[in-house]
Amino acid sequence: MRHIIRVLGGNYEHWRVLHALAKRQMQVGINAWATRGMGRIRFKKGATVFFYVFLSIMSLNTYNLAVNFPFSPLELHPTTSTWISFQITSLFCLAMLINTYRELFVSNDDYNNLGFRPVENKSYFLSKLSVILLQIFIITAVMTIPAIISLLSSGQFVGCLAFTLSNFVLQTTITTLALSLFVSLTNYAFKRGKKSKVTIVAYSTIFGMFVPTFFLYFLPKLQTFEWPTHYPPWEIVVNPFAWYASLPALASGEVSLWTILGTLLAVASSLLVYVYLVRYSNLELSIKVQQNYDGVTNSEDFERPRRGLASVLSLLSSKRLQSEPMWLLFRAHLRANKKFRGTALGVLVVPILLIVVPIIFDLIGREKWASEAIKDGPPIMMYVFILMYCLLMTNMLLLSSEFRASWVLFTAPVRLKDLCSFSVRLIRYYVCLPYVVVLFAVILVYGMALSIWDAFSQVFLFALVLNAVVMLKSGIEANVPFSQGPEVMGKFLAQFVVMFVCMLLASLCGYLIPVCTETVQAFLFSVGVLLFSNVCVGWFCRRRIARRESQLEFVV
Amino acid sequence: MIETTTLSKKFGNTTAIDNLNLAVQPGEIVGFLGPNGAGKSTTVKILTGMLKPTSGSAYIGGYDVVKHSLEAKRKFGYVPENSAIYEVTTPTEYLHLVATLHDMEPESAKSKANELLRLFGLSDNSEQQMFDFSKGMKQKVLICAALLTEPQVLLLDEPLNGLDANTVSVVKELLRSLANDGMTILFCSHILEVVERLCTRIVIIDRGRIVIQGTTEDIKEQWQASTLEEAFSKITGIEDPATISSDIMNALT
Repeated sequence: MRHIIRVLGGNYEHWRVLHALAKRQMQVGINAWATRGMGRIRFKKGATVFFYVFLSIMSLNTYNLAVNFPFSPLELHPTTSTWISFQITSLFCLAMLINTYRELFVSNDDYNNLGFRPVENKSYFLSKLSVILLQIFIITAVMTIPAIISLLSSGQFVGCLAFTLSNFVLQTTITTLALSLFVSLTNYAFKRGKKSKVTIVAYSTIFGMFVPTFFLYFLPKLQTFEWPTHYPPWEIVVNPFAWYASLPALASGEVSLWTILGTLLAVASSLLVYVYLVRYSNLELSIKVQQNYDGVTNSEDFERPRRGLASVLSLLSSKRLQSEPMWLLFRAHLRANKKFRGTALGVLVVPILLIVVPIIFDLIGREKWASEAIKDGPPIMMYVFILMYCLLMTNMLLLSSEFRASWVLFTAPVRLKDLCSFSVRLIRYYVCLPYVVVLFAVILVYGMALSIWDAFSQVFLFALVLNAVVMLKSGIEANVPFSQGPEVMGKFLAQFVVMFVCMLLASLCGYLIPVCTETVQAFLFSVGVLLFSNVCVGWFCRRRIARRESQLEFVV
Repeated sequence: MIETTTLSKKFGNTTAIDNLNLAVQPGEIVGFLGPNGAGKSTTVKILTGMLKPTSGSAYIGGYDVVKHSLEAKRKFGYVPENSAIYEVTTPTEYLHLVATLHDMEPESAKSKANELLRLFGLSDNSEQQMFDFSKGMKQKVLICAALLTEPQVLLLDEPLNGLDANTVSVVKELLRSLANDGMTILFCSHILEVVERLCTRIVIIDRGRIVIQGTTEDIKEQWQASTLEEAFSKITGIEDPATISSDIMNALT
């Protein structure tokens, strides 16, 4: 490797540092993502897998029922209903993703572990970005396999890609949310004793949600068998509702060979993702702890698991899989070595994705073959959705220990002063300048090609993305020394409340914006919502900062 | 080898360190003592580059910890007080990470890491993630990490926390040997018996200022105390521990 890198003009020592840092960041990121869902559920052998599948299916159904139920008296058009559901789902998805990446961005562990190591800020910063890019890329790449197969069968590549991603994120998010809730309640109940009233209430709450879901939503849908015939094969591949509903159709031979092949590939790709997660997470440990919960008394008695599903999957996690992200890191490193251009390009990818994805959705919305839900929704909703996402991100950070980052983010849209006040020269010159130039060009071209209001929307979006960059920088700074302990349970519940509030806001937007006949009204409305929200957040944030500072004085 | 000049650190209106002048020479084991909140950990964190001083300067191995932080950081090994470690990694992976960040040769680092883990009784756990490690086990890994890079300076913040009696004995002997070989060691601890036996010189700070420094015998003689513990109580202005204990008992009843 040393020779290869040197032949390619790279700096091997720098690569080693970057490689090591990024590998650890990868572990932490994936671990946070995976354990959020699995936690350490205290179940006996075999029950975990069954429960995971059961909870996945039922929580998805409960979610759909919960989202659609409030709108049922309004007798909305199915397209509008689906569209609102899509917005709320998107918020959930992004809330989960940003919460995961928050652990990467503002990890207190990094401060304690790397603060005294000879590591340059550049390497540290780049490793984090590389890992986030890698995670997005790998998951996307794996989940795109069914879409590629569908392209061969139907030619609907872009539609497949969009739905593959949205469905994947939907499933992951809803399932992990449900699991998180269950784990939290279970852990709480265990502390109080199995026969206490709290335990009974907790379990009744969880399983009580499933009873109406089963009879009102799941069972009727299962009985109709309409999904496989009404939806194209590629949706069957990526949609869990279609999976279980298609089983009878598969048995009777009504579904084509492509569907079966696609389903198999979907299962295989999911397995690949899972294998990857197992390699970089402590899922094995979780399963083992679940199996031996009562028996494990101290760490010395603890052994790494070598049996059951985990052992089979760990065997599958071959070296090739493990080395893939490192190869990608290598490419990131090569970019980084070209300093000015390389670093800027690397850092630009994520924000540009934020620009490009809405554009893709816009384009999808203008094509006949696209999903009904997306097609009938006005493109401006994508920007409302991103506004809400920023608001949600602010709140998530606010209620975490990294409240300082939210303080910066709260000042949306970004001001010139924020950009100029960057103390790190690397960010100021290598990131912001090319970032501004390139994105301005993108926005200008896009704005000229479309209408003036689209251009305005893009500029506003651009400002928000800049805001995200500011958050990134301040988030890294916010490592020290304000994080004073996780308060996991409290944070989780607080975030849950915030998400609920944001859901309400998003629902409001989702319901009111279609009422607006002109795009300009929709745009102004979304700006108004954001500004009002920010005022509220700012007021709350100031109080919180004052309180934290008094705590800090006490700690010192 | 360790030097601070009029070092100060403020958090808001609170002064954590106030014009601290400290010097530790090669071959010395300096016990850095003080009551809770005296500024010990803040001083160490400034030396490690984890905090920036409000004013003054600090040097490790001749390098300014602010202006030449990377060079300074290559000179020392540090055992933090809170057992901060990446629990998601195994001890082997963690040591590999540390070795890489310190630009060590992979092969020699690997063999040295394995040897250290073996000597600290962690061979059987070297491939386990550290989520369920006890505090003592994590502390052993941190000590291994601090020694792995062959530093010229050791900064130890409560390094014996959680260690069993046998390992404590080994670490104490090890520190003496390292000091004899010319290593500079700053040892922060609340276990005064250990400090008294191990350290060649003692520095006591209170409210961010050095109140006394010298050998154990000097300090005991100056404060007319039979033990370092007694001298420490007198220096830091604590009342008679027996009286306080008696008051607490009365409050409980």
